[in-house]
Amino acid sequence: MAKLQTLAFEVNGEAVELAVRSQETLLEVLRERLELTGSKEGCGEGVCGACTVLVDGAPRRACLTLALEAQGGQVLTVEGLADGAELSLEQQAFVETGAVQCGFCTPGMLLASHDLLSRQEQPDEAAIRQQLSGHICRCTGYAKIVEAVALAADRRAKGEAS
Amino acid sequence: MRLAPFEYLAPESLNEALAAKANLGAKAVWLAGGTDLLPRAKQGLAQPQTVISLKHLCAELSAVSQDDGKLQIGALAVIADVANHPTVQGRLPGLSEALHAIGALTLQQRVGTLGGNLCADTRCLYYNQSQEWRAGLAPCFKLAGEVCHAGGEGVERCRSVNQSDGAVMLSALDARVLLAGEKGQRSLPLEDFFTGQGETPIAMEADELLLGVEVALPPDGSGSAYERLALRGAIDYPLASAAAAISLEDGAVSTVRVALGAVFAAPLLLKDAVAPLLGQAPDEAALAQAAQRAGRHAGPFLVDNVRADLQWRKEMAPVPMRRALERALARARGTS
Repeated sequence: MAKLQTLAFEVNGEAVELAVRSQETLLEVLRERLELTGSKEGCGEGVCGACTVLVDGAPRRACLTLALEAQGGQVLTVEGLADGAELSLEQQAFVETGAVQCGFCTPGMLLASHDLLSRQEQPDEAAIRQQLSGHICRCTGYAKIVEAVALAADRRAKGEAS
Repeated sequence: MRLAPFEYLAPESLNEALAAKANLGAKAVWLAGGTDLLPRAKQGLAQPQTVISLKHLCAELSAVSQDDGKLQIGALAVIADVANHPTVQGRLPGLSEALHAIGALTLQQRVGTLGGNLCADTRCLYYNQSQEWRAGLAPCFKLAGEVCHAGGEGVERCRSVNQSDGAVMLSALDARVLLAGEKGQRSLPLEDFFTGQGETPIAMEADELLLGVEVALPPDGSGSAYERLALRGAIDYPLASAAAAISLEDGAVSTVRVALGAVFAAPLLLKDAVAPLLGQAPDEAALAQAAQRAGRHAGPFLVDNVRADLQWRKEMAPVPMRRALERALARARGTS
């Protein structure tokens, strides 16, 4: 039972092919097989949002996604946000604003922010808070994170480089 | 938390999917967004031999379309797409509210489906726990045992709770579900889709798949609304919720349907409680009385479970009901 199946997909722009078991989650494959440990397992049941990655451009709980569900898809993890040594707009804003404390929720927060900024030109505070409502942070009290996303949106609107 | 091994199928067509399920029966489960199934599978509450992914059927079963005064919504329609659909927002505002209350925005987009929300299992403080946690207790009715830990001694059936937001509103809107199985298709009202038995809360056969939902679009002069009480604003199940749908003729109530949610193993339709509103042009006091009656009529069914005790549910059930009635009526009158 549960024989290996070939999973072919794209992770952070690179084609990946590997044999997985049916019951492996996307999070397990990313962290344990591909050693992309940026995505975190917090609760493991879809509540905390720390494992959030983008699959075909949409946020997904990697802990509640079977790896095989991403067959043929494109996955973006926190490791794929920066361009070499240059941080992405969201990452730079998180660092500058102090939106990172222990950092455990940060990868999920960054990808949710990335998703929001890719869909909305200039999200207001309510939209930012709504987007981040699927993510739990136990350190910051959220204010700095909301500020960081607003800063990233603002910079992009002004066409500033990060 | 790791998943136990299972086989994985991703059929390319509806016929292929139905044939696989007919062959495997209850040993196989459907996988849509996975937000209800996977946590249960991790806890050993679902122990499928085979998981049948519906991902290739999304194109076929995600449409929202209008036909002959009815709105048809595919079971795989993503929650946010239904909630933001112009016809839903315009004609069924209560449904839009209910769907926006589910999980969080990032779960409503492309992950959670309407069908998944309707088929979500009932929940219980003593059931939705890890295997280790449950090992200290005798198996309950929902695990084919002979006790209900939530109900305590003398309770003879499962007292788990349906906490679906969509189910409550769609019950008040008198929606129907369309099921497909080995022997063809059948349609049944939501009232019959939910059994009210926590052990087996959904009246679906092992070979069946939920294809979609059909809601009659209400006439002009109608309004609907959904209200919920919960501890948090996101990623939380309701502790008590209420849905109301009202139509007016010449200013008087011509139809009214209400349902309470998160208080019983099925959405609780309370027809008699609101019958006195028929033919009336109710004021606030009349709506408050109807809400109180709804709470009283629901009384014998209310569960003592999932983060709210019986007394709290008794006292609070009328609150979302009154709010939902008020807003539905204001919408029917065109004043909100």
